[in-house]
Amino acid sequence: MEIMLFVLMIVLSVFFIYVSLYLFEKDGLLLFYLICNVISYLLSFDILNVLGINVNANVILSSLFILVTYVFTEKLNIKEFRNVIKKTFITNVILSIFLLVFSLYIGTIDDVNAVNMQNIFLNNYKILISYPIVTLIIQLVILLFYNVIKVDVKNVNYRIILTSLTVLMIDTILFCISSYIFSIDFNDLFVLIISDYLFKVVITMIYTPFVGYMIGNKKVKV
Amino acid sequence: MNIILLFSEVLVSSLILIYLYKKYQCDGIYIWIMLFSLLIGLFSQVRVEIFSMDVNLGVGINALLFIAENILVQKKGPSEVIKVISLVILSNVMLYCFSILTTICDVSDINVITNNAFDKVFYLNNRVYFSSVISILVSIWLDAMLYHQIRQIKNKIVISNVLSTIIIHFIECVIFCFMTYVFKMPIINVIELIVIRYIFKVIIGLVGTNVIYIVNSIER
Repeated sequence: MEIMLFVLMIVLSVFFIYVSLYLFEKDGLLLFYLICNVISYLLSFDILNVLGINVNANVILSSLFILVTYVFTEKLNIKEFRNVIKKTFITNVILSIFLLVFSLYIGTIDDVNAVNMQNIFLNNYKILISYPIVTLIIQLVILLFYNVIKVDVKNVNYRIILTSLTVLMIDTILFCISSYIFSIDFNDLFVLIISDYLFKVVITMIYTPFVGYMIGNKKVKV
Repeated sequence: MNIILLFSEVLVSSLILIYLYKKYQCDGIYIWIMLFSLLIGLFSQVRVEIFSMDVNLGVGINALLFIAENILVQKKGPSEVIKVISLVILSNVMLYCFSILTTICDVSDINVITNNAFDKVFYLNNRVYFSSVISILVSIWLDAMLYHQIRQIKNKIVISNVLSTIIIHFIECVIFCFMTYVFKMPIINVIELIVIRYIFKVIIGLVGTNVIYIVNSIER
């Protein structure tokens, strides 16, 4: 069941990229990238149980977010790419502020959603700080690492996979440790890092041909 | 406490709107609209008490959404509303699909309190969510047309914004409250909710006129 849902989410995300490119043309990929980042941020508060393994709910969108970053690295110059990084960081900081503000509201007596929001966002205040910082670090690592690999590896798909193996590891370790340290048991944290990483690698491999196609296709403008 | 938070919500989101416009011009406003329309959709299902009156969370940013829309119409004309509507639909449909699919999956046995709370908030209340999105879509379309028409008759920002705020927020409140609460509570309570929501939104919308002036002064 969960696998089917994951496949459905992967298919849907590809569909949404096409819709975004169709609707907004040149701005489409950036807007999709930012929406993907916001939803990935919101989902990062949840941990799922898929086939008996614990994984973060944002594994799909987080992998896609990193993959779309490669498209920007390929198609933009460094100054333009830095602009994209700034926009993403600003979006994440604004989101952190507003998630904090909204969870501080006191709800009406008959509405338990306000309490649930406090349980999500206030109990996990570490994610509110760590997500924007980790995302920024990852984008900077991609900027450095992908351009170094680009010189030696000519095939786009290999380049994406090679970069992803390292970037995803840094992303997962940084995010899980900064978000869950002292909140969950160390053994659970270790297993979560491993399972998150493996899921992200598999999802990245599924997406890679599609992203390679986007990089090679001159009609995809950013 | 809630009134201070509402005040900070309006102040911070206005400052962010001005900052994004200053840094990225209209692209910045699109980022603002994308981000805050997602937050409005997600959090409008939460009800809070302000001055002993029930309002849905995000009423402040909801009112400012129309100010952002008016700035875009002011800069680029009423045709921009199509792009804004497409952006609101795309971002909210994406959020809806991923939220629902995620909450269908089993929750993990670690961090249980958060996971269960997440499922309750993100398994979106369809009625409230769609009421919120539909009321925004209908009213931003009407707002763009009305704001532009008034500007053509009388080219003064304050007149166009005040008139469009008074008319459009009423339509938005009626659509939202009727779609969300009718048959769920007595009609008199629904009318009460409409009036309260309308008062809050009109006050914020009128104060928001200053944001349009500030944005215009940045350009000069």
